[in-house]
Amino acid sequence: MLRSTFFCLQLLWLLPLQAFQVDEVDIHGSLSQSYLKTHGHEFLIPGSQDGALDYTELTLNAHKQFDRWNIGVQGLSRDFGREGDFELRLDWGHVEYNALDALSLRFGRVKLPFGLYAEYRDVDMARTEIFLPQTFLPEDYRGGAVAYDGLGVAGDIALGETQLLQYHLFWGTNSIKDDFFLNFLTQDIYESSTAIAAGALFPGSSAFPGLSQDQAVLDTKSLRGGQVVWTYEPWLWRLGYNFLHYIGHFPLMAYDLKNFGGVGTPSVVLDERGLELDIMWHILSTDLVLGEWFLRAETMLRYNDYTQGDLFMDRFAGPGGVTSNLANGDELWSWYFSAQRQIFDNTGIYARFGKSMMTKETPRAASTNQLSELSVGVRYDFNQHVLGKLQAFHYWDYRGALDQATNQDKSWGMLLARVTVHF
Amino acid sequence: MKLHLIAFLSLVMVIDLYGDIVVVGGKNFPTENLTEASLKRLFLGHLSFYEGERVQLHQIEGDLLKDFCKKFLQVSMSNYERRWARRIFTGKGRVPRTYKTSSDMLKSLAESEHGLAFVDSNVELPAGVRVIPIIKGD
Repeated sequence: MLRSTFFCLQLLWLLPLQAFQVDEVDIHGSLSQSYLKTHGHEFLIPGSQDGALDYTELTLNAHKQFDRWNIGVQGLSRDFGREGDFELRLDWGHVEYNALDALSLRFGRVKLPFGLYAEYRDVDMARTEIFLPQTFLPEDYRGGAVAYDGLGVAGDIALGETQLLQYHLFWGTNSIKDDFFLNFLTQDIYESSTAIAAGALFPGSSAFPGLSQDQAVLDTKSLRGGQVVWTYEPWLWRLGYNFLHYIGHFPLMAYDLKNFGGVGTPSVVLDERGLELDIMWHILSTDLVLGEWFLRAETMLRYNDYTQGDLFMDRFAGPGGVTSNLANGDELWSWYFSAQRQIFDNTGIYARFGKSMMTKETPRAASTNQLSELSVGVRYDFNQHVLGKLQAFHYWDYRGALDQATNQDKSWGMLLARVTVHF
Repeated sequence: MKLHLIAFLSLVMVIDLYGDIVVVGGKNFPTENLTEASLKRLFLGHLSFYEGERVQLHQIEGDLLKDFCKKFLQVSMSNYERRWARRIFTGKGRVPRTYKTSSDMLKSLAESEHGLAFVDSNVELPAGVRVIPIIKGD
């Protein structure tokens, strides 16, 4: 893997990189290779404390436009710790009809607006930092806010000569598969529940080599949301509001292990209700360009209501085996602000501070999502098609999802370096 | 007559503010001139239609683009490139066509339906391409 990654990088470096057209179809692509090293905590990639190169992304897109129609598709191949393994996925692919600036219809897999930056979280060229704020767009919960499969209505409305109003409403579903979060959840529930329920098995986890990983998929019932962004153009000052409503089912099955011989899938089902998720997000965002400065801030409230079968409730059983919470729900508040400056034509620096905290906790939620983050970084553009980045993080008061699976260190650091080649 | 003369002189002064760069359009570009605000909206990707027609942007790599960003759009070239990278890699709309030489670009512009571009003011314009004066202010 490592050898092939370096080969690809060397090859792209040598190529005369230029976006090109084939029969009026625009072709663009990118390749990123990252190095990640953590101190005091293993994060995302097994062995990250020793330094890891197991983080590579490759995109290739094609786009054609005729009259008022846009058709485009982008493939994303990713290797990131336990995620991806260079599996080629459809990142986005849609048909868009532009009636005019104020009204366009999009159908297909479309990048999902979630704050002002989530749509291009994989577009390394578009920003100074490598990871977006982990208080806001955590990499271990990535799958939920990448794209939607459905219908979108969007438009840009000019308000006089100095103001612009952009909107995007959408309805559909999405695909969340092989996510860090799913791997964590299945493993966590299994490990806890086997002790309590005396032998229940939850397929889909990497902890079970005999069962298919394909079952570690969230079954999204509905995904809908919208975004409104107002821009004062002379200052390039934006104010945005977002909402997102997710309803889904995590189809975990609990099997009786007592009479299970260890071959194939056990036949006796103890609990098939799994986990029902109903999550709502509200996000406020703003950013501003002031000469060479770029300032931005976002805040988010997440309301999480979920219900689950009895066996999952045993996961949270109190003393004597009495289930303490028959209905679950939690609330999360996150925010961050960031200051970025372009110090030379080809060099930009930034600093960022953010925090996420539970405002309403349950026994389950208390163990996840809490984080304080301080991050600084630099971006250097070697030329128009090659750039390098360095980003350092310090985390404290950390109670993230993967934390339980690895260690309980609440304060730790991370260094990320990345080279990206694009055309 | 007097008013026409004042308007003409104002226009000449405005064009001069932008130095050695002129904005040019294809033969069917739907207006005789553009306000600076409209030009910024088009080149920053805020809008892609002008007077009901979809505009195709053209640009040349290098220092001319850098000067254009600074003088006409009041953003750095890095800011400009990042804006368009977002659109390219999220599948949003029509991005500017980029050329290595002004002759290649002008040839394409002359053939385009509603094309808009910028060139060095000393470059000779081919048939089918005309200067689009930019009116300072809103």
